[in-house]
Amino acid sequence: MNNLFIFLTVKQNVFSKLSEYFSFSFVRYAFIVAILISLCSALLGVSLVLKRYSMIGDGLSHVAFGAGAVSAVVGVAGMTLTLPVTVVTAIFLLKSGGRKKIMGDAAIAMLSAGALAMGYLLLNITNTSSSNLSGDVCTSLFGSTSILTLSRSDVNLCFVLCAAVILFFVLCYNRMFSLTFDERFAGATGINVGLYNLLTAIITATVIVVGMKLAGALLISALIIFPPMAAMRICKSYRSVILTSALISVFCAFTGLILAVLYETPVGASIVCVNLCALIFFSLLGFLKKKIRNTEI
Amino acid sequence: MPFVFKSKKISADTEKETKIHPAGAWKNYSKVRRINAEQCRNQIGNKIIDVENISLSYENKAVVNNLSFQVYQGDYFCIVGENGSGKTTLLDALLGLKKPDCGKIDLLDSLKRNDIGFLPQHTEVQRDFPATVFEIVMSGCIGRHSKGPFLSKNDRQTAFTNMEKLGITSLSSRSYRELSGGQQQRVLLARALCSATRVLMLDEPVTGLDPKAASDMYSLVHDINKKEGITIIMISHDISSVLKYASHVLCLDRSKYFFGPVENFIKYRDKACEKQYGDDALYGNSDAYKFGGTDIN
Repeated sequence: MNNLFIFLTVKQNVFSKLSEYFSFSFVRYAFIVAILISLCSALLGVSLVLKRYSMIGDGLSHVAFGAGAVSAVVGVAGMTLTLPVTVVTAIFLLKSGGRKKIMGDAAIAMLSAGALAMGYLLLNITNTSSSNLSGDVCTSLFGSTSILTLSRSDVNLCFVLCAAVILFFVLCYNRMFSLTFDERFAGATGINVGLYNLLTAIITATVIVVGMKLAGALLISALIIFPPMAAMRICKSYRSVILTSALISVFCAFTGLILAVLYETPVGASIVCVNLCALIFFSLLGFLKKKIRNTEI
Repeated sequence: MPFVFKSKKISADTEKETKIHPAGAWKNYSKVRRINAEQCRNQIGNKIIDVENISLSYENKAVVNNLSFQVYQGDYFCIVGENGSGKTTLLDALLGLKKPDCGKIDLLDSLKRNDIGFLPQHTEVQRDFPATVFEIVMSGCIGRHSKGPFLSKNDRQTAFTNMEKLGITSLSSRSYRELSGGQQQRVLLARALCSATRVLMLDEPVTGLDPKAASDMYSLVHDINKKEGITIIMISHDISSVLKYASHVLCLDRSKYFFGPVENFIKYRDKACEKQYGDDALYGNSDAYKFGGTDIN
């Protein structure tokens, strides 16, 4: 009885704390952006994971960090430099993705490490004011608090980009399925493969650059890869993989953000950890499902 | 009859033709060739594909030089040849996925790209792809007449009809990755049939199948050819089944080509084997045209 009472007060505390937080506009912005980004990353992730392009997503986020460092040094605000550089790299990587000889995983690893090193070096060299450099780098790598410092215009930009990405995936659902399953066949049925690959590259870059605000350069690829992987543990059809992955992603982003706000943990890391838990949970579920079906047969 | 018409044109215009063809392919068009071609074609359809002097390259390496052949409605047309002889590149060109370096491919008799179905080779991506059989068969309807983003009731009906034709209706909601190799190939064939009203192109359809599944596959394709009158264009490594089912054979080699009815191909091959040492030597340097085949270069 005593325990229950304590539990209830804690729960009440949590709720009052949450409602207090939600009265701040920046917290509401953070939640809206987190949900939008996680939805986009899940939709995109299904295609990337199935096409074996996960590493390209990871490599791109490092490039985005490098570009971000350059734009900080040059003094260009926000995404004006980061987004175009990442888009160009994405087009280059996805175009040559088919030809494994030229752009293998070694090349992507080199690109990642190179961009990361260059970015950090640049920041260090040009750091004249004795401001908190390691804090800045940590923020862009792990996205610790940047999601809670969004301005109204940041939110608007995120909203527009995410809405465009979601609209693309809804309208091109059938074509994306055909392309992901069998590019050659899709081309033979008259789908413009080059155009859709280009759009996928642009969307990948956009989601990564926007998502870096939420989870940081090192962790954003987790948001792309974990939800589809978790969904694929239990789902049989493409449609259910897409829907489940979107649900998992939004749920994990929401839960992770709440935990981060309540316990003052880093946002990106919290969301990724919740994602990890979801993956483990769905793996177990998939394992049990298989067991049950085997015993039925 | 279009065939005779073509021959007349040649005799009237031999000089010009020979200039285009240094090797004088048409000059070697013997009487035997014409008689045999007409004998073996039990129902003479219209000429639907006319390939004239095309040259193709793969990754900047010339693989096919100055090749000409024709396909008629109702043919069972097999393309054989060693690895790297340009079979797949030729098929890509026929599908419109690749532009020939020179020469032209004409679709005649109001044949449209939308009438051509395609069964590509398996890709690594497909092995563990989470999609139901129905979703995959439906993807064959995309791009055919549906310009809009979503598929219509009509498309569903087409998908169901083709699944029934191939006896995979009971698998409709099963996941593709759980199926056996033979069943997977049937699914891909059903998908191809969704867009094939007149021509079906197959790229090594029995690779990786056990003998039973392979012979099932062959008899399915044979039925489609005979009962529905759909023209088959198939790349194959399996010479025995080519000899059994094909009506026409195109044999690609690095230095020389054979094109003609299957009877002539048997003679061509026997002669080649005599010259070489043993049954494995299929592609020798024989005087192909003596047996009625078009021997270029």
